[in-house]
Amino acid sequence: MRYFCCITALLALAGLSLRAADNADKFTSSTWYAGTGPRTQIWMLTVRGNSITGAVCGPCDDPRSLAPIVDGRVIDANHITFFILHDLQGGLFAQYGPFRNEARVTISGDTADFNSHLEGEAWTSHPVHQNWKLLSKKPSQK
Amino acid sequence: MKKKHVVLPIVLMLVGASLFAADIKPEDLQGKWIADSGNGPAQVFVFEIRGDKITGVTCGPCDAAHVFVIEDGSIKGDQIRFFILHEDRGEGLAKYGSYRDAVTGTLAGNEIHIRWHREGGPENEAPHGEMVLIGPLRLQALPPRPAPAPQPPAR
Repeated sequence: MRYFCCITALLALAGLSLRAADNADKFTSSTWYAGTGPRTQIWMLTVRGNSITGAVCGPCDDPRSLAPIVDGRVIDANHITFFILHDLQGGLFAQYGPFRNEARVTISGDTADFNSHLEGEAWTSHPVHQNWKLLSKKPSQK
Repeated sequence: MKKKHVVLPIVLMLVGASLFAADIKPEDLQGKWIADSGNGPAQVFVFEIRGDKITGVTCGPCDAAHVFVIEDGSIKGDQIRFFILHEDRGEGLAKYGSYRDAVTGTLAGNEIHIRWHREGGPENEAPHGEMVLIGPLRLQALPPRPAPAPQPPAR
C-alpha cells in the first residue's frame, strides 16, 4: 500500500511538473487593452523566444501616447515583465527627462493584472495599476 | 552643338537630382501621418525615429482591433522601409498564419508614397497595396488657457 501511495504521489508530481513545463512556453504574442472609450490603452506584445518587445498606445492616433516596450521577458506562463520606454516623450518626460517604467504583469486566462513604477525607484513611485483584457493572441503554430 | 555643352547640363541635372534626394532627417518623419482613402476611415501612421531606426504603430480605425506595430524600420536617403506586424490579427492571418507586411516608401516633401505586400510573398498577392501619406502632424501640448477676465461688477 505504501509503495502504491509513493508511486501515485510521484506520478502526480511528474504530471504537475510536465504541465508546468508545458505552460511555461504558452505566453505568446498577444494584444491586450485597458480602459474604455477613446483613451483605451492598447498593449501589443511580441514574444520572440523568451524576450518581449512591442508598443503601447492610447489613443493610438496620438503620437504623444505611443511608447515602445523593451527588454521584456517571459518569467513563466502567468508572469511577464518589461519596460516602457519614454525617451522621447511621456507623462513624466518633462520632469525626469528620458525614463522607463518597469512593469510586471500577472496573467490569468483572458485577463491580466498590470503594475508598473518608475525604474530604479520603489514600487510606490508613480505606481500604475491596470486590469487588462485579452483582445487577441497569436494562433498556435501547427 | 559641342559635346561639352550637352554633358554639362546633364551633370548639373544629376547634381540637382541628388540634392533633392537628400537624406531624411528624423524630424522629417517623426510624428503622425494620415492616408485618406476617400472611403472608410483614414489610415494613421505614427512614426518614432531613433537614430536611423523607425518604429511606431499604424491604425485605421484606431480602435483596439485595428492597431498594429511597426518594427524593423530603416531610412536610406529619401527611402524608408519598415514592417507591419500581424502576429495575432490581420487580413491574411487565417490564410498565412503570423506574417508581416513589408512596406517601402519614398518621402517627397510632406508626402510619403508607400507600397506594401506580405513579406516573402509575391508583390501582387493580397494583402498588398499602395497609398500616399500626408504629414507629419506634430501635436504639441497646448499651453493653459488664460483665466477669463473678471467681469465688471453689476450695477
